[in-house]
Amino acid sequence: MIRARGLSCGYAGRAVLRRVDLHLAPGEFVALLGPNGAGKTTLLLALAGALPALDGAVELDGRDMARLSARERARLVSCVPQRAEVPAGFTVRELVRMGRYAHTNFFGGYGPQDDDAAQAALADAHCLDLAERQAAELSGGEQQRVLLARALCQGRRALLLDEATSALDLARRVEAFDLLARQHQRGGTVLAAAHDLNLAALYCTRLVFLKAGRVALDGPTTDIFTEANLRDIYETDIRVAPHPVTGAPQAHLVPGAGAGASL
Amino acid sequence: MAERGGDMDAPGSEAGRAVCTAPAQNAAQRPCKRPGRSLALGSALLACLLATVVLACGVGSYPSTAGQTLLALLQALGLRAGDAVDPSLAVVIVDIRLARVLLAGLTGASLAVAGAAFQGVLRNPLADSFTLGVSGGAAFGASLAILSGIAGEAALAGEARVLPACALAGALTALGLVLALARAGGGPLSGLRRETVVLAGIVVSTFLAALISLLKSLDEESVASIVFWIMGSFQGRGFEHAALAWPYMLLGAGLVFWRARELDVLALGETQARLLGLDAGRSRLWLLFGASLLSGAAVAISGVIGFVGLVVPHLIRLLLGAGHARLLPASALLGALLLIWSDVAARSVLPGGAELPVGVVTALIGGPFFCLLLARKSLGGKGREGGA
Amino acid sequence: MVDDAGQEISLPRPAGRVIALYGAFNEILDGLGRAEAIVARTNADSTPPRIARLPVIGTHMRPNIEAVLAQKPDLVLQMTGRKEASLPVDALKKRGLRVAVFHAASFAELMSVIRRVGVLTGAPAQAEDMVLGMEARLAALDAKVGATAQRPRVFFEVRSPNMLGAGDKGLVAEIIRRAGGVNCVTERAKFARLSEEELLRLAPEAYLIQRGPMNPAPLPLAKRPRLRTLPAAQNGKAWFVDERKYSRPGPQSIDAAEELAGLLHPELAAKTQAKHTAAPKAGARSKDRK
Repeated sequence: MIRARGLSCGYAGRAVLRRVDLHLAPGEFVALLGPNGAGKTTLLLALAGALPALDGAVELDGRDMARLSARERARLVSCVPQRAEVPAGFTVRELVRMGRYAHTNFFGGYGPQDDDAAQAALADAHCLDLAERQAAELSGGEQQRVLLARALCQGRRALLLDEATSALDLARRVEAFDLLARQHQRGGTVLAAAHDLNLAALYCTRLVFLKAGRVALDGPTTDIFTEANLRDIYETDIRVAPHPVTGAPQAHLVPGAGAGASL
Repeated sequence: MAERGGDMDAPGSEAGRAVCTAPAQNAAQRPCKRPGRSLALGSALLACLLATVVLACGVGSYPSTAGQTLLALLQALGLRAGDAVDPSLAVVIVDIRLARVLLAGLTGASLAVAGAAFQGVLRNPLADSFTLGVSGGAAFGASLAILSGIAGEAALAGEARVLPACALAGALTALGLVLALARAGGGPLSGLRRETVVLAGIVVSTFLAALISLLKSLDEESVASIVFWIMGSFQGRGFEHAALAWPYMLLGAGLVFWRARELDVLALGETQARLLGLDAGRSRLWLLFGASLLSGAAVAISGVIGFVGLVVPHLIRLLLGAGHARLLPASALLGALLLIWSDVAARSVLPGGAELPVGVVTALIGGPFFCLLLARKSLGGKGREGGA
Repeated sequence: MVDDAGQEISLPRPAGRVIALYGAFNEILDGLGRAEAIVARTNADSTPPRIARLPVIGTHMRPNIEAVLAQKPDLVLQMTGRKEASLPVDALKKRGLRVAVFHAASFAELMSVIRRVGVLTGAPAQAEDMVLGMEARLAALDAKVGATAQRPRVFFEVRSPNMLGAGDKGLVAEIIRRAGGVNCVTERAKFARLSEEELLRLAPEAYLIQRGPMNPAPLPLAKRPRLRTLPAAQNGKAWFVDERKYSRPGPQSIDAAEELAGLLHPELAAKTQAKHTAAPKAGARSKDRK
């Protein structure tokens, strides 16, 4: 579905990502993990086509993304950005329907099918109660749910999420990951950048760790979610124990073991 | 793989669906609020505009009764109604008043749509053809054409194609300068930073104002006419000027209206616009080009008229929200109304048949009104939430 | 010697180095035979021809003070009219120059100005001659058109398209009256701003368009569709006239009155054609094109 080949990417000529190779097969639910500044956001923006590659290439469905039009690309991949400005004067419904921009043709406006898609996305993201509110006046967590709804409205084949649940309370966070899991079960490809290791380990079948702009680890959750790996990546003492209900590995911090200052 | 949420196969989604339907039905009526409101406002504005065309043709220093005005208008439409109107009165009502209503309407609509587009593209509520230097560029281009004699006597008769061309060239040059300046101040990914663009606009318009002053000081005898012209006025303009400008206005309006959805997406900023599939750079250029055509054509027939492009979109945004599919047409209607009545005031307020420049009237109305909007916005920014 | 600003002007001897900040003075001086006393000119003035080569000291409203001082004039002449014209006067006076300010809104005032300029520049006798000549021509004009019962309503366009017309106060108004017409603008001011609509209401029977610096490229009346129903347009009584002749008080103002009388009253022209053959034809150089 999505493949990065030798991808280097950055800002103002300064590379943040260095020669990243990554392949997401259709229907995978992958978490993108790593410490601050590892390049998670940069990789997601590059895979979503918002950031041009300095070197290497991104392929969508086997086609070089650089040759796709912005609309074609947006119909294949939808993305929830980490920091999204929400302008005043739009209702939630309008904001969500903008996800359909790439599906409209140049001459027509938004049609009934676009309204239906927006309605379905609002329902799935549990945002119907917000639909007629002013998007700019929502709380941060509510806005994150709305942006998730917009990404669903845009397309469900491939979802890229950048800290898309960071402002949600616990119940909403589980709700959001349940929703992503449902998309995954129905064949959607999901790549979620997150800081919450345990949530990632709980839901995702595969984890990708970035460190200093390179892929440090990439593999099935059960294989790579180990104490040794996590200590290596995060440079602090971390213990792993099974989840009491699902048995999925869960990470636990150890107080007084912080070594981040030496970074 | 499902495109939409309709065919869910995951367990438990049935329940989710059941939960969703109740608010969904509730919501099915609620979205009608906005469309209903915009429809109501739209038809009210349209009705006002139609009434205005007739009413505005009845005001002026030449004595005319309501009946004569109607007769003259009907006869101008080719209807055989009543006795023939006195030819002088017919000229006054049709060739002077109706023509000015048409010109003021076109200009007001153009300025308001251009203002809305500039504000949308640059995501800055203070963006306007006036503050971006586009009007100044058009004014400079046109006054250069008049003073240098390129346009000459034909320009005054509205026969010269060269005058609007010069105004448009001036408008686009000014826009190019502003964009180049803004580019120089921003990084490659920042696209157009809103502050930079408006600052660049202020620099360019100040520079152009200085150039116009230079033209004025070079030719002392024509100071009065340049001042009057720059102030903005429809005096001495007629159908021939409308004929000159409407193709550019139509083209500009077409470009902007067609891209109304893109304006919405651009409002989200560069990154989100790209993520949603919009080629933001190209879209912005086309929109800016269209808006500049609109304001350049407006300046070419009327001189510089401020505040319409600033106040009208703001007011509509307060009433209808920021969605451009509603904002643009409603702004066009309100802009037309505002400028038609400003022009009626400009030509009938002073005694003895003297006229005020209509730019003075719009500034007198627009300035305080804009302050009111600003005050309301800062005080009541959150107050609107209660109503939603 | 008192000027029209009420100030006493006394010169030890007749002025020999004169700068006029208003072009009409040059023509008066030329008429008095004192053109050689002119030492500089404003940017817009080039008559009489001999002053064209003189140094330029700026404009009527904004003379360059330094340039004026550099010419060491013993007399500077200024005409009142626009307010801006009095600003440089104060600046020049502060620097010790003698500046005489005059006002000529009628033939009587104009003649008084000519007499006083004659005194100041040492040509009182010539000034007296010029005034007497003007009085005689005015009297002849009065005799010719004074009795006429038909006095057409006249509009004098000072500037277009942002229309400015001659009001009922000023030399143009008197020229119209002396030439056997009635100014259709009754506002008691030198200029009147008015709209096309107001002009249609006034319905002038004769339409004069001045051409000159104030109105550089006016359209002929026939090319103004919105004024087509004016009686003046329908009767073909619309003419271009020379701004320098009509709007500048000077010796040529009498030519303007005679020319206009010829235009407004062609039926009377035959009587006096022997006397002033040249005037009307030379003046109405471009009759409105059809």
